[in-house]
Amino acid sequence: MPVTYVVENYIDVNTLYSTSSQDSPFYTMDHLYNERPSWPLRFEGVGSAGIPEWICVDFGAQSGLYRVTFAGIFNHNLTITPERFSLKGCATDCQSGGAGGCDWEAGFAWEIDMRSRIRHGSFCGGKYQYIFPNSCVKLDQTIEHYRFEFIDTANPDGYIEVGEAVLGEWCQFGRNVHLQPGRPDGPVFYMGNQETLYGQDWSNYYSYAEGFTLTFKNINDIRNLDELQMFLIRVQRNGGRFIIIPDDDKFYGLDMEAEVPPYYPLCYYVIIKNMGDYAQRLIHGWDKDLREWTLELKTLTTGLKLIG
Amino acid sequence: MIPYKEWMDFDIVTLEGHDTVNNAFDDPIDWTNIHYGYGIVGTYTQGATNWWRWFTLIRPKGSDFILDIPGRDFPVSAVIDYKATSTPLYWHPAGITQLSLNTNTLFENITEHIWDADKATGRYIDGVAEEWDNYPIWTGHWFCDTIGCPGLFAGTDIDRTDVIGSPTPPPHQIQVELAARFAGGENMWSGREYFFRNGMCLRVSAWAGVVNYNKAAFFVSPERCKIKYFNPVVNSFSRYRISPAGGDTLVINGLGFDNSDADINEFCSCWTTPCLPGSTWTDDVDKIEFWTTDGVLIATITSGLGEFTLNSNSQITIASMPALAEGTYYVNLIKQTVGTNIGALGSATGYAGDWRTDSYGRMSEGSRFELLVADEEEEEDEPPNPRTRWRWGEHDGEVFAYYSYLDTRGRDTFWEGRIKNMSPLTRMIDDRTGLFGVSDVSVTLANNDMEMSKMLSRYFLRNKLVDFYYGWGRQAEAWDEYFFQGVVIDYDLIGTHFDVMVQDVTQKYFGMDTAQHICTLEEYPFIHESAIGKSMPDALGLCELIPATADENSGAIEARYVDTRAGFYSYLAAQFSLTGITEVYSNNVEIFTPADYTVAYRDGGRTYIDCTANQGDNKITYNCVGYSVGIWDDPTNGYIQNPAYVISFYLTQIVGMPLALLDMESFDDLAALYTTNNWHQSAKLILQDGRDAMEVLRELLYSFGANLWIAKDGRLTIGRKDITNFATDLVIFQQIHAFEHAKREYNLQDFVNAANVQWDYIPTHSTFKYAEEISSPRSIEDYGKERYPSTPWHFPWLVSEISSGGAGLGLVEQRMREELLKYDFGYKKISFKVPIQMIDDLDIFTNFRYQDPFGLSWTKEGEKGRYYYISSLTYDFQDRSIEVVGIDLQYLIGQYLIIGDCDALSSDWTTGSEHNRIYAAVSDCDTGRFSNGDPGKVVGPCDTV
Repeated sequence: MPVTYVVENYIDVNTLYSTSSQDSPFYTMDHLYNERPSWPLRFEGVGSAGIPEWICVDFGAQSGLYRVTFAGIFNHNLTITPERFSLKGCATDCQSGGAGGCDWEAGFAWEIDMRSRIRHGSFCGGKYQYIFPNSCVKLDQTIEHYRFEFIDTANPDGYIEVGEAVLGEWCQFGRNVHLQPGRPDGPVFYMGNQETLYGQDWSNYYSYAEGFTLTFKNINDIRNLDELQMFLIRVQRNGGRFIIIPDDDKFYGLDMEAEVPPYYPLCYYVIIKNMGDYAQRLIHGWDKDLREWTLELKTLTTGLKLIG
Repeated sequence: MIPYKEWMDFDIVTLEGHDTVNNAFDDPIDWTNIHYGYGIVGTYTQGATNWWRWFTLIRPKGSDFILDIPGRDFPVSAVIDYKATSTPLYWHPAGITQLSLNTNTLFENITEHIWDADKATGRYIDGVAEEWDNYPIWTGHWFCDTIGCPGLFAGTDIDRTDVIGSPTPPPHQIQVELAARFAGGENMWSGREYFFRNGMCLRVSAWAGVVNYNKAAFFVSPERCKIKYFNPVVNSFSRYRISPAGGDTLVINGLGFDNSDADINEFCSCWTTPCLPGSTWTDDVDKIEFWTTDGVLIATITSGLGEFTLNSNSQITIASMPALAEGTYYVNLIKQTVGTNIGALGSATGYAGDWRTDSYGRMSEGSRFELLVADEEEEEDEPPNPRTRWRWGEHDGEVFAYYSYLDTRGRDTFWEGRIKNMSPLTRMIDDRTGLFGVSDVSVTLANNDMEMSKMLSRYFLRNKLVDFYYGWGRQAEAWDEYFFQGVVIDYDLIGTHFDVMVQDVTQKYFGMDTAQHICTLEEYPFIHESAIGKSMPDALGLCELIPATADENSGAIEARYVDTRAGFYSYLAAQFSLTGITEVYSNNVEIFTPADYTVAYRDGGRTYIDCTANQGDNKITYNCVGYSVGIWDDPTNGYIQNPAYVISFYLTQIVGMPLALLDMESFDDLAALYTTNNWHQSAKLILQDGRDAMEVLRELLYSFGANLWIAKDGRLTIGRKDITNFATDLVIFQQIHAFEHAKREYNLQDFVNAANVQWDYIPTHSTFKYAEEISSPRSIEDYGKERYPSTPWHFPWLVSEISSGGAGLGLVEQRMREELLKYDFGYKKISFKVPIQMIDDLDIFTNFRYQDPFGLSWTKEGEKGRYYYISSLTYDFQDRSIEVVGIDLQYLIGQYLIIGDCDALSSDWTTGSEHNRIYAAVSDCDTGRFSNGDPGKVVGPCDTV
């Protein structure tokens, strides 16, 4: 099973051009790249036909240096059927219309419809289709302007939230670095549970957060080992935070029937938990045979949201 | 009953006029630029070219005394209570035979001018340079001639004989009203803007018999301003969550939904023109609106279309709620046109929850109710999430910060998930003394991103309030509930950690000595050396020590010798106005008025004993009836005697605690309880020397058998357990709720079955007036020995009667008995730990029943619900638990045979509920069992029945 990851986010204070609206003072657009999905951008509305809420990123003349192969929206509150959830590219401008502007409704260069990345685990049908709050897509572009667009008129909150927006490059551990089949990926859902003397359970759902243990074994190529080493250095520079798609072999599922959505693997914004010893490895022999290497990961919390 | 708001603190200034030209006071120079921060009204004619005049402006203190506060902007009428005190010294010689005391609303012509409470003088409105726009100020500034009715005291004459006839004339208690008169003349409605801007003016007028060198003056002190409002007030909804589909029934309870005309017209009858001749007010709630929390009107229902029913002045029923989209809504109640039939005044409105009323109709500020429209299942698995609000201070203001364990997004607030650790919090009552206790809390906040380092570079936290509250996920932030309010006492910054120590907010007030005012050379240049630095005495209730034998210790309180000059010989009796001084002693020899002394009130209401002859180094002591505060006074005797109000006076006036920190409703309820038992004249308090404020409070609570605790809302709440207060529907099950077996403590090392009791303390002579010995023969017999407490039981602030004079026990005897009952078979408690989910159900003093399979039972069946009340709660959000300590109510219930209501209870033991079974039931005489075989009680010796 290949493991895909993204470390650096191209969106920052310099490249984020603007958003269609923002709910100040608490939920402003700078939260899109604060590496804290629990503190989001909150648009003032839900968009309407022809007038979406949007996030626009402007790489300007340097766009050639920003090869975008991964785009992700983390901790959104979109419903299961928004009218629009797209990533678009345009060479001219982030602004719509006017001299030198981009016609983002009809004159853009390309569009990726991301709506199919919202619904997961809907096999029971009916009401309880589960909306996963993270949506990711692979692409390969170097255009100057990227725009995420949202129209979700049925959103019960009355506004759209985006915890984190990411444009970056995905990587995979190459060569023979694999998670072993039957990997011990134990999701640990953070819940408070108390049990009384007589067996009564009192459980609390806390914020959505999940733990992983990724174990790599039997890596016996010095180049693979160095690749892992570089990965660790990059992640450490990024505060231990990165994006991971643990099961990335079904990323492009086939949409064979309209009623059955294609399956896309889940993506997570995670932090490394075993900070002190996560680089401890058992290395054997002259060729640095790595027998076992364990990474403890935890998804960044999505926080609590109150009604009203 | 109409919702009302009352104010008890006032801004007050006296404006002094001194005209040496023509007695017209019509030039600015006719007014002195001296600021007087207390109240005098009067007149003085000192010859043909020397006239003096004083009048007093009063205005309820606080930023909330303004007209346009949402939900409290439509006044009905006003009542003002104040005291006026004069003495022969201030009314002499006999020329002026009558004075008229008037009250007016103050109309300031210059728009937006408000007199400066700290600086205003007769000359300047701001005490500096801004002149009043007209002199004399009493022309062109009265909005109405006189508030009040001709039949009432104000506006009529006070005879000189009222003052001169008594050597220590009591204060005149005066009430004036501003009626809701609608047509003609001045009234609350037409004068509301002036009234709320500049308050009232008290003055004398129409004096009869004035000649030169005549002076007549009163010290005046305002006590209460009560204003009724047309605005409807909602206290509760029958449900706070309704279905989006609509159709649910919602019952709204509150006050002022349709006031009676008689209540509105209460003060109108004395006017020559009645308020509403032949008409009605029609002030019913006839429209209800539902608004989203961001201000969009979504739905409206009206009574006219039958969409809701006005059941009474205090209840509205919406039989079928309209369908509303998911979300939270504010509910606005509207009286579309008050006074339609007599000329419309406009709409009186009120959002539900903005204001609440207590059982008397008194309004206090609340948070706006949010009606949650959502399907029920969304509430599953919601965690109680503690949240905190911090005030970072800078030299000229504060900024708020919000921290929680977890990033939490609300509509109006974002709580940063910055709390790394928070120690458990304990709120408790020490049941042995009645005193409250709150643990300190330490909070560790994350500083990994240097946010705390940044804040500390500019702001400070010391002495700033921190609010702790909790809410549940997927609910509106307005539903958050307080569980603690603290004040920051210290903090440490340790790299990535910021550790803060927080202490209970009341410590801000209690870390003090009761002697806030002492006698100084600066204030009293001619003070006797023995009085320098001594505290000014305070006295509440009946304070007297009259010896059976002359020359023994006499007089309950020692006065301070503050003016030794010949012709003055003045002794400070108390720092406020005593209601009366009954006996005075000089070195234990009684002296008499007016031959030996007179009582005077000066310097803003202090009480003095002015002796006619020099008493030298003699110790001057006196007996008195203490302070009076109008509404807290004993209705018969006219001064504070009720134990509940002695404590409220102590907390507010001596400790200086703001009223907002006290749950005054609980004090009123407790006062009523004392009155019901005929104990309402049993309390006193003498503060002779400075003492630790908390220690005095402990003595008061213990004397009166009262408990004081900090409720979840952060306010000090008072109560007393008695037989009317033990029933409960709350049952805590060992087998469901408790994490481990409950610990039943017997505390037999504390058991006491005999005690010496002393009460009615005289601090001046360090003596108790009364003592008694009591014992519990049954406990002595069972345990085979008498056991006394290590020190005698002291009830220092109870006055002397053993019995109440009626059929019941006096408070002294009641206190002795209940203390002995509490301890004569140990001091029984229970402690256990329950899930944090129960936080909404549990508060201090809450009664509960505890189900315990290991409870005491002869048949080994355990206990299905023994009665306790909560004395301590420890919240531990990290452990997700609450530790509860309960006091066994056996000592209380065991004193009674509880009969119950014959019609409401089952006649048969088998079919009786567990709750029914606490009431008296008699088992079969032969078998000693009830109808289902349970062992029972037999009444008397069976074979003789």
